[in-house]
Amino acid sequence: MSNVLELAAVSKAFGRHRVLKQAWLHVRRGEIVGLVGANGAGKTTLLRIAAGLMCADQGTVRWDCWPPRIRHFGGESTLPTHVAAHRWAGFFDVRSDERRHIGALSRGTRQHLGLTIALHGPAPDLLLLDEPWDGLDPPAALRLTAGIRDWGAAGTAIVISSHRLHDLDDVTTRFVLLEEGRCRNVPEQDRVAVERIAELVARGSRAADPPRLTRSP
Amino acid sequence: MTRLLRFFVISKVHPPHILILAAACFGIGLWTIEYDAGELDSALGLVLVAQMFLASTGFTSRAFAGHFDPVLVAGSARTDVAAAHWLASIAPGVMAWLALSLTGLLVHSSAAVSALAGRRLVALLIVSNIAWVAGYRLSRGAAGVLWLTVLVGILLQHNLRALSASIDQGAHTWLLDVPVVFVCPFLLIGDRPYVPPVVLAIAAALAFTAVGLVALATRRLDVLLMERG
Repeated sequence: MSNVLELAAVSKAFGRHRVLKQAWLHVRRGEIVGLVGANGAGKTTLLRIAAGLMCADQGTVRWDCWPPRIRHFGGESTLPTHVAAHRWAGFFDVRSDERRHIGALSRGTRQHLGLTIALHGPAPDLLLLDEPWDGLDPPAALRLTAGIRDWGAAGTAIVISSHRLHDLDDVTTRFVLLEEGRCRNVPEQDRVAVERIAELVARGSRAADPPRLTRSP
Repeated sequence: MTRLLRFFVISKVHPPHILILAAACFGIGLWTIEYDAGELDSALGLVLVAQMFLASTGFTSRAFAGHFDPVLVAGSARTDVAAAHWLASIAPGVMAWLALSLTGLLVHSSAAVSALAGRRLVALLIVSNIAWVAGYRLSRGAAGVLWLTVLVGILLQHNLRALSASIDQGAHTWLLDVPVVFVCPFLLIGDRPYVPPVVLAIAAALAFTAVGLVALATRRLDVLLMERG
């Protein structure tokens, strides 16, 4: 099966800080990849490069057709707060009766609005979601999980970055751990226990911990 | 392009209070012309000052907040996105200018033709384009503040007359005249100093070239997320 998305030896640095170091990631049609890693590991950067929003310093990004049909949702904080919710939704042909400004909505409602827009309409080739379950109440979280499954079944390649390992485990076909700037497939035997994945993420998190300050005697 | 323009209107490139400011400038301008048709230049000058701030909408500050993500994902033509943003940014000032100029035409103001197709129009093009270009990587209105600061600095040092004289009495070398009209396009509001058509043409072409270059640069713009949560 062909890859919808191919990141080959992608590197990205912000000043001296190298976030991605020759990261490789292939996603096939219908595959749902759970991208995990410690805070600051580069998950958001990787997703934005995959969406074409950012450019890699080195390496190549390839989509299987051009122009690629991509949906990307970077979280509720990316919605314009001063725009009326119904007008923003209306632009994407999504009906909303909410007339307040997006900034006046609760965090969960904003997240729900953004996801409703991202998951609306015909299935794209590639769906990229950054922390999609954040702020959602349980029924909305379940609906999101079901929606992701449906789109995966319809053939959309999906990459989801999240710390919510149990939610990810419900939908993903494989886990990819982003650690020290590189992507590493989590072996199937490690995947059996979500706790094991949490351990792998924690290991990366400890590595990224800032040095402790100690008071000199 | 229409869809992109609609996107920027919906995402409020211009917040309501800025549009009210543009409408107020138009209203004052209209009142001025009604009072004295010969005062069209005063009305146009007011719109030009407002346009310094109106066109400086700041592209990257909004893009880095993720607001433009839906139209910037791979597959969309980034140059079209930048062009639509430019058009949406300059539209209120241009519309106010056109409405005043057409009104001036109706009341037989001598400056009206120039405002629609002459040196005064070049002043509007320079202000609209350069304010948008200069403000591309700044926050809203910042380019207008910087530009006005420079102009006030020139005025305080009594250099405006010198700038005007450098065009009026000079040898009309476009290498000197073009930067002067770029720094102070207000010199083009009025009939003096005389500015050769070639200088006007070069200035207008450069103003559009600057917009084109920024639109092209948008293709390689790294749309980072500056704020989370």
